[in-house]
Amino acid sequence: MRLSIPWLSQYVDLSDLGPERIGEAYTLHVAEVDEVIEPGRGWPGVVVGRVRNVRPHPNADRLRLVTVEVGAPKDTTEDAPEVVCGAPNVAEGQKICFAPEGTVLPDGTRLKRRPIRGVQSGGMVLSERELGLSDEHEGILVLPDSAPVGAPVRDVLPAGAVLEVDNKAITTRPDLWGHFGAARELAAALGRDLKPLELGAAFPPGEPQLAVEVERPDLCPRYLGWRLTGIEVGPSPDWLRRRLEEAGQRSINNVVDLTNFIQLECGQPLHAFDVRQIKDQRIVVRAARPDESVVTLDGVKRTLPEGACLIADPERAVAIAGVMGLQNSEVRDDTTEIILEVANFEMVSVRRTAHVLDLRTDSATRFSKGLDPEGVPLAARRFFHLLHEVCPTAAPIGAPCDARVPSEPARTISWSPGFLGERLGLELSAERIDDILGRLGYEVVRGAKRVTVTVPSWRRGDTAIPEDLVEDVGRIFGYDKIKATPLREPSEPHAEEPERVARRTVREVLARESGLTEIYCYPFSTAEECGKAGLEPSPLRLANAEQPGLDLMSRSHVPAVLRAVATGLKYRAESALFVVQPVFESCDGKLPRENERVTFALAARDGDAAVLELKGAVEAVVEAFRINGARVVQEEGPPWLHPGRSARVGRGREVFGWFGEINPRVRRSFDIGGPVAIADLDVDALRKAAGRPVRAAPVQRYPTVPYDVAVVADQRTPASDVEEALRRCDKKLVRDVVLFDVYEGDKLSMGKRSLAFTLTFGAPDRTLDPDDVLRLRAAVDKIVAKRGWRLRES
Amino acid sequence: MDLQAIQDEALAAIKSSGDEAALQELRVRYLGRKSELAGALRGLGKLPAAERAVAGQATNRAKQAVEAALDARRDELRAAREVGLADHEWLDLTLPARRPRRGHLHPITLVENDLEKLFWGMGYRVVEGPWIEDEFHNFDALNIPASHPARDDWDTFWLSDGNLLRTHTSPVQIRAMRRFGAPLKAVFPGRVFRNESVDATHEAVFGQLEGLVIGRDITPGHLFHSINAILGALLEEGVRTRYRPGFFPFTEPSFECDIMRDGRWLELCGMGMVHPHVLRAGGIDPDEWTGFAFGLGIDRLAMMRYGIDDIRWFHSGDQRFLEQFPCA
Repeated sequence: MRLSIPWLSQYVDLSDLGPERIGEAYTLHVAEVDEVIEPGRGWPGVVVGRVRNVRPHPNADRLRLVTVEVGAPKDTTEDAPEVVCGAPNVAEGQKICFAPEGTVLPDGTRLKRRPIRGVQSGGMVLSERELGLSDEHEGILVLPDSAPVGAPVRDVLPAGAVLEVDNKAITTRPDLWGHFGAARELAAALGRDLKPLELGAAFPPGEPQLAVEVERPDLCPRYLGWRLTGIEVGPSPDWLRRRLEEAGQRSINNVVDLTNFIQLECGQPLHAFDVRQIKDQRIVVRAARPDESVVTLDGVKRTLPEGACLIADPERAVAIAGVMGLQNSEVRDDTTEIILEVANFEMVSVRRTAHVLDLRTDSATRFSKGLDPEGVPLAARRFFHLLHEVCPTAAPIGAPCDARVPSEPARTISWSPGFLGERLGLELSAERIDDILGRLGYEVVRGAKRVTVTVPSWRRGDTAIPEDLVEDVGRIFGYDKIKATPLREPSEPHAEEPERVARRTVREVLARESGLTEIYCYPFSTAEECGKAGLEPSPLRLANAEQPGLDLMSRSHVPAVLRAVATGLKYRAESALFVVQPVFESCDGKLPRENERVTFALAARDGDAAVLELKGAVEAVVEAFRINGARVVQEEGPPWLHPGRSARVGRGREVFGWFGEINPRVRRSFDIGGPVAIADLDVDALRKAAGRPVRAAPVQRYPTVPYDVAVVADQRTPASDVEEALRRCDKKLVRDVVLFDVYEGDKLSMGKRSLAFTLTFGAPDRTLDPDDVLRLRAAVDKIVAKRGWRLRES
Repeated sequence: MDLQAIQDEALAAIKSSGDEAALQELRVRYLGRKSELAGALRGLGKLPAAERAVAGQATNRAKQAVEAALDARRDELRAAREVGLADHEWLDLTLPARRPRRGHLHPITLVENDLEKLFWGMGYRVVEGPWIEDEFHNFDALNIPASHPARDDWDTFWLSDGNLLRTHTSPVQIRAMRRFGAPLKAVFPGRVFRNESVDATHEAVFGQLEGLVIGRDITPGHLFHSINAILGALLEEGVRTRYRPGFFPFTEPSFECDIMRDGRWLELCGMGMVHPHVLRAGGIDPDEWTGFAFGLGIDRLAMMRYGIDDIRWFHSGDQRFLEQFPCA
């Protein structure tokens, strides 16, 4: 929302304050000002020029050479500067804004003479954006013919400063979408008088000379139609043009300009219909029929959403209520009689229609905030009052026809004295509070036990409870007057949330100990990507994603991790990544189940070594949760794993996750050339299975005896089976079993391999005697024989 | 061989030995269990008593002579080696170090960890909530009914099952109030989602941290003090702040906090006094309790701290970006 400071000054005296100060006051007391724009500030040296001639640029199709007169027309071509110009709309005879060499532009750069594609350019013809007037930069700004050549541009253009207010900051404040409402707040903040709006005469008596029939009062709580005659459509007077230009709008004609002016002044959109186009002078407010289509003012044919509110005559639609008028009934140059529409439309319906049609007009924006029905007659009177100035022959035909639902009773809010000050932590006198509230339009009544205010009609949308008054009084008084005070609440220690502890544990183990890099992933996937990884696509879909590729909620991090690995391997020889965040499963509960999972991958030159290194990381994670009895079992697992290189991590029937090497087909579909070791663990399951903190055991005090054996077994016999068997020879005296060599080759028969282990024998409470050792060796021989293995002689 | 011959041979061998390993072999050969001297000592018992003492002394002398020679030669070799130590054992320490692979935590994790530590130290609980929320927790309970004009300000990802991806961490306020009741001091970090087009300063997925304090007679002054303390710890001691009106449906009054950076006010975070509707939705009586809430953008803080110019890096999964950050 652009607020023109000269415009605001109509209602509150700001003459002694600079634009920055006014912007600051608005920001500190009302709503955030994104930017204070002072167009005139950047214009010293910019003058009115006349385009004497335009020639093509010898070296560039889209550029032209423009000779600009800035002095008396007798200048010879040699004196008149020639500039290179890329604007498509430049033409001979135009009056334009010219910045000669040496001018300092609003962005601080000084214009220098320089060659552009081989031709010297001695200045610049400016666009609206370069002048700081708007974002328009498609073409240069063309001035009216009356602009005197050589005159400073600031004498010709509106140079008033503008406050650009953050629209999100005034979403709930329809009154701040007009200059008068903004001025009311500024006047309160600065403690200055607010000049009331001049409304002129009351409505004339007599019967309305039109009919208004509201079929859907739920969509249109109030519709005021007024027939006005004696209209002469023509150019707007300078003051009106200037106001619209300051607010960033273009002048069209006096009638349309005035409706726009009222919208920018009061926040109430108005519309004017040519009476000739309204059959029987009968306005019908109704809902759109199925597939009803219309041609809007901008010449576009649009199909309306069913139920959209329409303004129609008995035969056809003439406007999309609150959004845009239609071409069939717009005011034309020969219009002499109009029906003025000042209405109140239901905000959700307007918002929906504007959204579906993608037609976010200034009018729709204002109606979407929920306008004040009581503002309707005021805007109508204000319009007619000013119409006399822009079109003195105008006259009403009868009274307006005001169709409305009964007005809401006045809203009152009350509180006990002292409440506002207590809530703000401020000492505030009753006089000060009443003064602030009065300036904002509240009527205050102080009783013995209660203070009661009547809420002004334009604030009913956002003011309902005493806390709302805390805000109004606090911000106008000034939040800077509130003293920062330490909290008195005692701080108590709390237990940490186990989910966070678990995630931190995983991160520490994988980043610090295992050397993996943490990535964050979008929790989204696509059916195509799930297919590549052999996963069933999730039934949980995103219903309205604007970006392509955001279709489904992820039920696995595997695709996202593979994508990151593929990217990483473009630039690095290795990729070692992990992600820990939830995946999503639909379930019978109200909300989908969120399952925290960690997925990590290691892509390195030596793929076999990488799988075992990754297994180390898997073990480190499992160990960090102190899970007794967790085991790795080699078996074919999820489809994204290589069938011969896949292992499950679990305990009994519990599954903590899977790891192994990625299935070569899956890896190729993600454009990864080499092998990738990958693991996927369920952090929630690990957390729930976590054991108690470590308990210290005594260290081995008596001597131990090492014993090396090489066991020959089938190649496919898992090493872990052999190790487990050796451990079980004597659970008490076999203290440790460590694999130190694996041999396959000529010295063994086909399909066999030798696994060499060092066993450590020892007892916790004594030194072993030679008989113990003999007995243990015999036990090893026995178990090896029993399992069909054999010991390899050294 | 007689003792003298053994001794002579041993001393000659020792004298010509070139290094400590060779010397060790000689020690075994001449003094070890299988050596002739050891054999001679073992054989003493078989000699007649009269000869035993003489032979014993002779054998021991020979043994001592060999031992002394071994030790002397060892010392000699060591001394010789130390003279040229720098040369013999020169190692190029400018060769690249061998390190285990280094891991890296995500920059947002690092910032979130610091925030968690900071708030933990100030007595706040750290609580999380689900990423997928229902309309009630994300909107209605927060005083944003379907008709509210501000609903459009949150570009929401709706799901096929009627739920949504939370647009802010605020719904966790409601869950925490219902779980812990009043008084309460908690922060809610986590990721939030906006259905909007992505550019250098806008992401569809980003991090937020919401804070909530509920107690008796809590005023905006308490809020401003807390925020000043937090920003002082997070950015720099004594950072200049100002508070101005803000508009959020779930707080009343609402504020925006700006900080002074490079001579300009920079909008940093939104906050306010918890709206009575929100307290009631959380099962807390607004006549008895008041509170404040604030929200921080974790991505913004990470960008400020690390000088990151484009928010899209965070979800890029690009290891070239991520490997710049430490693992703790």
